[in-house]
Amino acid sequence: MKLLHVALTLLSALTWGIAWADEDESLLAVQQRGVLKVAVYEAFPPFSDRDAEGTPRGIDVDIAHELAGRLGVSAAIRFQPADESVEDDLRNAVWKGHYIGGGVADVMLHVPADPRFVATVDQVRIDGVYYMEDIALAYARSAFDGAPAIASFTRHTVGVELETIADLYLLSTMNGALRDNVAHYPSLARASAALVEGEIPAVMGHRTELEGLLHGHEGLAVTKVAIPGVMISSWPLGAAVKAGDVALGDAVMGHLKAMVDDGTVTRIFAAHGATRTPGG
Amino acid sequence: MNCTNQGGRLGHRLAVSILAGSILGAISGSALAAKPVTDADIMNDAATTSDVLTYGLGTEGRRHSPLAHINADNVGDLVPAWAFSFGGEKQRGQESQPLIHDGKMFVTGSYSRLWAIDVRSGEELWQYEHRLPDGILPCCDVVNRGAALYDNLVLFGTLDAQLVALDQDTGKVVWKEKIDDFKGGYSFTSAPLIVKGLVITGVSGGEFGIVGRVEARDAKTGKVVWIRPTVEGHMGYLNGKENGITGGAPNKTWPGDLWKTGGAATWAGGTYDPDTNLIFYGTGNPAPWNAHLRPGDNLYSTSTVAINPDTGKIVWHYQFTPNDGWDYDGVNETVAFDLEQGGSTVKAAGHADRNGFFYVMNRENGKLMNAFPFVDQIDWAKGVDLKTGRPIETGMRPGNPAEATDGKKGSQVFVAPSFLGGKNWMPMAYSPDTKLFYVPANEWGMDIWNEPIAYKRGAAYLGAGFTIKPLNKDYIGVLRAYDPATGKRVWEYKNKAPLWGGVLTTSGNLVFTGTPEGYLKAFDAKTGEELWKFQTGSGVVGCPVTWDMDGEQYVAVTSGWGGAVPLWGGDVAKSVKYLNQGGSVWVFKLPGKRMAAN
Repeated sequence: MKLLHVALTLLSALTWGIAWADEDESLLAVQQRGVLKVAVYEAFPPFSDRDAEGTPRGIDVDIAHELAGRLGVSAAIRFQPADESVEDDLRNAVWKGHYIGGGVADVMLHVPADPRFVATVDQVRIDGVYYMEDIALAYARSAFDGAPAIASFTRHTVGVELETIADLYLLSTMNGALRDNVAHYPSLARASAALVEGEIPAVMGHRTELEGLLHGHEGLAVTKVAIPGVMISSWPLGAAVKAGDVALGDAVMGHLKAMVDDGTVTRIFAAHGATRTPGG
Repeated sequence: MNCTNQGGRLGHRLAVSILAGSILGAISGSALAAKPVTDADIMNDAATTSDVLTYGLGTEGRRHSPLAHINADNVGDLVPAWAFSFGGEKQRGQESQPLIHDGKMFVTGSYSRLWAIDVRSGEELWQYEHRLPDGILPCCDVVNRGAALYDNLVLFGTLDAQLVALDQDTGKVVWKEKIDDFKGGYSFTSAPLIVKGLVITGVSGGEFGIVGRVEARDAKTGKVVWIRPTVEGHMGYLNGKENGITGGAPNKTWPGDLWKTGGAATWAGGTYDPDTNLIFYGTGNPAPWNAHLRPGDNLYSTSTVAINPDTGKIVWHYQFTPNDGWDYDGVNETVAFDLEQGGSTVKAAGHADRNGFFYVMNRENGKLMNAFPFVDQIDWAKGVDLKTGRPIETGMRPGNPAEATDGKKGSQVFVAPSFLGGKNWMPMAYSPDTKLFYVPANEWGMDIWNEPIAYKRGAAYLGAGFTIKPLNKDYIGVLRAYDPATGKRVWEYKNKAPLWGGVLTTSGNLVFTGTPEGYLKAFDAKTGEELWKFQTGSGVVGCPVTWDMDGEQYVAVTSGWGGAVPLWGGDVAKSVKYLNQGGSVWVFKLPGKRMAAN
């Protein structure tokens, strides 16, 4: 009996050992492949889009290359269209793949690391916070006497990206009094272009995106605004790795933290005209 | 005949024609001709039994066949004639309706595929597999609901929002037109409709910032003839020229510029009534989802719009759910039928909406004649005011996510029907024999709450959470027969899983429909008694058809479980997880030559 017990214990230890080895292979697989597949959002400047030649560019693209370099491999950028929710994006890009096909990436960037959100997703590990996003107002200095108050949009038009928190706020605040002056755009990039062209005097949206999009344009200002009352007005962003890929996750999150700590991430943001708000 | 490169094909057809002719004699003259599909053929489709040229067995979409060889007395003997596997690794929902013409079956499958099959042997003639681009995100499974036939063409829409016209004989692409940019969230999954040489389509997919529209193209070339947006404020076009703004002007029933991205997607296809020369097209829910942000009726969302195919203009509309707050798309089919009332015949139309009410309208002017519930529980409205045509709301609307407290789950409401509807896309049938509508319904409701920690493309967003819940322990699906004149429920058949397939009725006093459990079933059209069933191996969510050939009547249906229920079904999705996927078409007939002796 005792012998059997020892054998069983050995067997279970062996099984554990094998399982552990499987998990470790997640990092090994990336190193052997020599490529880290990094998912970033498609058409999402200044974080991730393509230049005129089709080469990937942006803050998240640079972070992906730096991260891969520190792992001793090169980065393959996978542009991910945004689905209806980040849960869907994580399923499509990280832990399962979309049913249309295409497989998964090793890492996804620009994943919200709000602890309440993280607690709802158990198929991936979300960590490696590299900045904090918040809400800002971009405006033409000539149109306003200083930074405009929200109430000034009872008289002035303000652009937003459709179905964002800024949109929801402007449509609902002051009992809908601003509704008729909210101009909707399919992306913040399009709204920003309208501001640059002088079609609208102001845009409300995610601050880092606005800074990057409007970088280098004269006569415009970006100012952080509080969304009074009930809404979430800032949230941390990090990376996601499949929950089972423990070794890869440890390596990715470790390198991201080091990149934050040594100032690399702040420099990448600055290179794209954006200021990085530390998060996490 | 002097065209040598076609000699083989013509010779084959001639042989078939002689064979068919010798057996059929005068019964089915149309089987003799290997001819292109004409407008006249399409307009006669409901009456000609030897072919199925249109989605709906006639452009009116009544899904009735006058055939009675297979009938309530002998349907119990029905056996498979052949089955055809779609093959490949791609399965998921097979929601298609086969078409039958000139010895061929044309059937579409998941992932934008189409097959031509020898309808006598079940052997594949050719297959077209549309090359889908990377980065496509279809919202609601990878289904296709069927093709259309015109001239020598077979036409169908794809997940990347293209309209493809193939040669019926070879499967080669004759023309291909982009309906819209799939990157903007557009797709196309419903069966095109042919009206007077035009191919009529809508747009499907993407809840995000799209605007619904109905378009007419020259069916032979794909060239756009007219465009009619389904949201107030958008310009329509006819032959490249401005053709009037839908609804006359923007901002009449929408605040601010929300009409520019107002939704009202036309994703489920249309019907055409030659009597009134009107196309009836349904529209989806308005955007954004949060109804509190868009006070007003938000026309023409959640409506049926009646469009004149010659002018591309909206003649009338009827809106089922003004200022929709429950995702009750109004896309379900509107079916023309003649209603006897007080000794006269009214040109009527029936529509079973997602919102749980069955509407009877005057199809000449859209005036509401009757509205009655076709599901047991409707929480959002007490009824419909027949004078004003507007719902009598109970006030049970989801809360405003903008009023959610930071980080807290908002108040929750339970509302029936669920957003998947008292009835979804799956088409009902109407029998001029029994004068009953056969409605594939589902009894379910939904919890809705504010979701203050939702995230979208890396950014916080205040959305809504939903989960669908069955109303009864023993069933969700229920096939119901209704008398549209009285609103009386004549019979019902309960099914454990939700019903998701179309209905067919025949003059053999029969009603056919499929179940997710894998059965194609036949019922007595008058009593609802189940007379026959056959296990197809995967869930049936397609639309059955029937035709006659070589003196025998045939029934066909696609098999392959999928669609929106497993994706969005909440608690219900868990209860149907055991159902296996598939991809095939089954054809049935009576054993041997057993035509009913007249």
